[in-house]
Amino acid sequence: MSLWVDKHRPKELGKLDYHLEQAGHLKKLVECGDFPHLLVYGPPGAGKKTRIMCLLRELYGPGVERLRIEHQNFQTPSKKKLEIITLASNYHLEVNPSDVGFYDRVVVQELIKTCASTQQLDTTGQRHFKVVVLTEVDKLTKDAQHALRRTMEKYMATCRLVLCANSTSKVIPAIRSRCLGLRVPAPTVETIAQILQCVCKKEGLSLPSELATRIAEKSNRNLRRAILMCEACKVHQYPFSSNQEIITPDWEVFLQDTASKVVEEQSPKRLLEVRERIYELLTHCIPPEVIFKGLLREMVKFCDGEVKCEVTRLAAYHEHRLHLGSKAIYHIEAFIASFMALYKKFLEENMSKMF
Amino acid sequence: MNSKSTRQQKGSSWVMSTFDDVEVFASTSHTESRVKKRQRQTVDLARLGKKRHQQFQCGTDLWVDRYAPLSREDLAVHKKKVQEVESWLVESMSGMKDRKFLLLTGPSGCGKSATLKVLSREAKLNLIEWINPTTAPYKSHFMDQENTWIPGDTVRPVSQTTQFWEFLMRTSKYSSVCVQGRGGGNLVCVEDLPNVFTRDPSSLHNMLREYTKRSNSSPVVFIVTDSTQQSSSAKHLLPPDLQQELSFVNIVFNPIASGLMVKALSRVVSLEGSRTTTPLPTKDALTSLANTSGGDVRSAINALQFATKKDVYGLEELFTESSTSRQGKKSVSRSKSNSRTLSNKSGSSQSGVDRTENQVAIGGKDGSLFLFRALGKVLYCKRNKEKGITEPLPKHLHTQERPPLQENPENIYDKTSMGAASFSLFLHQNCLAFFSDIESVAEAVTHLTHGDVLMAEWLDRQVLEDYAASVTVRGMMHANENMSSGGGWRPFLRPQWYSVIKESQQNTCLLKSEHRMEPLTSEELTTVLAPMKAKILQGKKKGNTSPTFRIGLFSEVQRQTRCERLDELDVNTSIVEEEEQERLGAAGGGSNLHTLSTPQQFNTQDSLSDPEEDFRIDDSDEENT
Repeated sequence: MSLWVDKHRPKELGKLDYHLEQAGHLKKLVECGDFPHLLVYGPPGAGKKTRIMCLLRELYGPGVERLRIEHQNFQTPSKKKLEIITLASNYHLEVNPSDVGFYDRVVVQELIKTCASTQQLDTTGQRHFKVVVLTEVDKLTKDAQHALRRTMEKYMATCRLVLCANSTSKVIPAIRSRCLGLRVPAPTVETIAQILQCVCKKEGLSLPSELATRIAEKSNRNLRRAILMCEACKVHQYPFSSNQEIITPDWEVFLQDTASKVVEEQSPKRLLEVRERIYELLTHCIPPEVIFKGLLREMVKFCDGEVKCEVTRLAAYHEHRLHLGSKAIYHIEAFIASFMALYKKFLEENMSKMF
Repeated sequence: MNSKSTRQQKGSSWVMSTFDDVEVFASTSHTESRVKKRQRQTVDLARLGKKRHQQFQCGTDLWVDRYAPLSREDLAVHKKKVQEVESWLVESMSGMKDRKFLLLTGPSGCGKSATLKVLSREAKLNLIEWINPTTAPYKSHFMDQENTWIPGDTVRPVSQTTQFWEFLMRTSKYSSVCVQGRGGGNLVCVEDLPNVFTRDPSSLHNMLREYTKRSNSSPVVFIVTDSTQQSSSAKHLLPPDLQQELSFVNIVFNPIASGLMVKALSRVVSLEGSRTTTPLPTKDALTSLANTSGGDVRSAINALQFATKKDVYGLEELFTESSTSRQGKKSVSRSKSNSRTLSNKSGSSQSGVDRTENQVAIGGKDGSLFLFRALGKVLYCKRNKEKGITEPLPKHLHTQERPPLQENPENIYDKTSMGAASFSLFLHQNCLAFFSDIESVAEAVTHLTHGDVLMAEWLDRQVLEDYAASVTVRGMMHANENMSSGGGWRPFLRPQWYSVIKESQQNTCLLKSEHRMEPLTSEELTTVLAPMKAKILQGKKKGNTSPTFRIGLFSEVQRQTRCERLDELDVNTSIVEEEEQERLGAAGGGSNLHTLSTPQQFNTQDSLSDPEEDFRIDDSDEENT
């Protein structure tokens, strides 16, 4: 059984639900027969990957959907063996180089070289180039990005790159200028609600429009999340009622509880409890940045104007430090402790004003 | 066969005599002695050589061996400890149950072996000690040279473990042939454990279990010195549960008190004085030596012997530190810290620095601290209250004023033999219990982050590690304003961070391998897809244990904390290893998906934090102390 997200993913450019104008542009691009390297960027759950797959299908036909998993081995100059898993069809290759961390440069160079240096075997009716899809380009190291720039130029004849990133701010300008930028904005709440209705209709369910809107609002304009939530709601309670509870991920609830614990009491003892909870979140693979954001979102609710500003500053400062450092727990805890101190002061001032 | 054996005999006798000859000839100048005269000469020279040999021995014999305690009066160990050991011996010899194994632990040179030797001698027991054999590997070219093979002449390679087991069996079955006449039973002493067991203690454990099953096996005494190496520590070799299982009796020896030490030293000196005419060191010199030795009687006697080699007049100065530091010492001895390591670093940080430069000339003890003590020193953060504030700050910084520290923070870190990263993790894990208000916690933890940022780049880590440790430790101590009031004992825990990170990485890997076909970033995978998918499929598959469920859902039951208590003598090797792994992981990126690394380690924007900021904090701290 596949999830709704996968089941109802549009497979052709013509069947996309939103940003239709962009879809039209892409179609024209393919019709021209050739195109430059692409840099597709946008927030998570906006449909970047869907668009890329539609584009590939438009290029090569349904053959691109027959994917196989390949384990590729590489060796670094320092004789370290690397293994990376790629998804490939006869026409394209998809890889997430940030899987190998630090050695992504080797992967970027070697992989594209091996892929691009072989000509397409069956040239009749096919394109003369292959496509390499690189995901999480914004997570690549600087080294790898520079290597990528060089590779892009070198193998232009046999290979097109499609880069996929959440934001271009961490992609070096040299790459940005070599690619055709393609921004995929997050769908609006109304679009998401519509799509949810569509999906439910295909499943043969009736979804009240209020519920659809509520789910869409809760989804942070992330379509994947919205559809998953909708399916979870269906599992939880069907037939739908317009005011039923919307299922949110467990970790979010857990994080909210954590934040309210922080607001409840400000003492080293409480901080110890909170630390345990943070560890719990970390073992559930929640990235520290997400923890920061979630905590801030909850904490700010309890603060007044000026304090809000200060809390946000603290969060930004400590998240920045997190990126510079290596042990996330220090930084999260430093933020929580500073917030506690600040909030305590804020409460005390309020108390003294009251009397 | 016959001819062979005669040849062998001849050979052996020939070898013997040549050996003597050579020694004698070498000692005299008569290298060209005639063969005819040889018989007579040998006798003469042999006598001569013997005499020489004796003299030679007098010169090189260590006092530790020569004046080893002969009776319990000579022992420097406290009487009660001796009695403890003795009562165990008596009980085990009378065949009491559960008295088969004794474990003696304690720092080096506190008289563990000496006590056992003296007591077994007094009780007329055969003390049989295991000494690691120096097994030469079997060499086949011996045979090639000789071209003959003499049975029993080759060394059959046997593993150390087997040899040890045979030794245990032999000693329990047969009484020694050499020491006939003594009626008592055998007592096996194992001080020099076969090295195999440090790597794999479980084989030792099995062997001991087997050993207990045998009836009439002789009691075994293990002597293990406390050490900062985990693999050779008693806890590793003979873990508490095994001790429980085999009903070990553990007697912990303490460092020898200075009074007893002086007594022991004076005994040695008087014995030496009766033999030679050289002047003897004064009582004061002995006292100061006893103070510096840190309770290690062996090193103290060695130091004494070494010092008296030259002359005894300047002895006192050798043993004490320079005059300035002695003042400091006096002030400390008032505050009742008798341990040498303590007084070595007391006072304000500045004098602490002075003093480390004036190391004791002879007989100083290795000052490395056990992790437990080091953590305590930082977290309890003792300050010299009575001195008051020695370096006042300008008005606007009054809140930052602190009395001088008793310990120099850098010294504490230096003596832990531990990386800054792990040390700060230990501090982080344990610091919260030591703070009473959240403001100071915030300050302390902020300093931890400074230290972390300083150490983030593995290229500069070598250089910056010490600075980071300094920032962390000083920050922690500075923030801890109200601590000096004391407030009871608190347990120390091992840090959870590494286990948390390990688990999180494993979980990410599992998730990724489960969702290999899906084109997702890891963040989307862990924050959106996995939890929601778990929710959706929750009802359908009961008792599903796929990673998605385990990771996506939070169980109501709070995960029990896997903190391991830190023992007083615990050492830090395990965590250091983990740190190494992490480091390798960071450098290696992760050759396969098993060592997937946290993204922030590979973050591309890597400007170091403003270093000045850190130093500013450091400075103001220094002014305070």
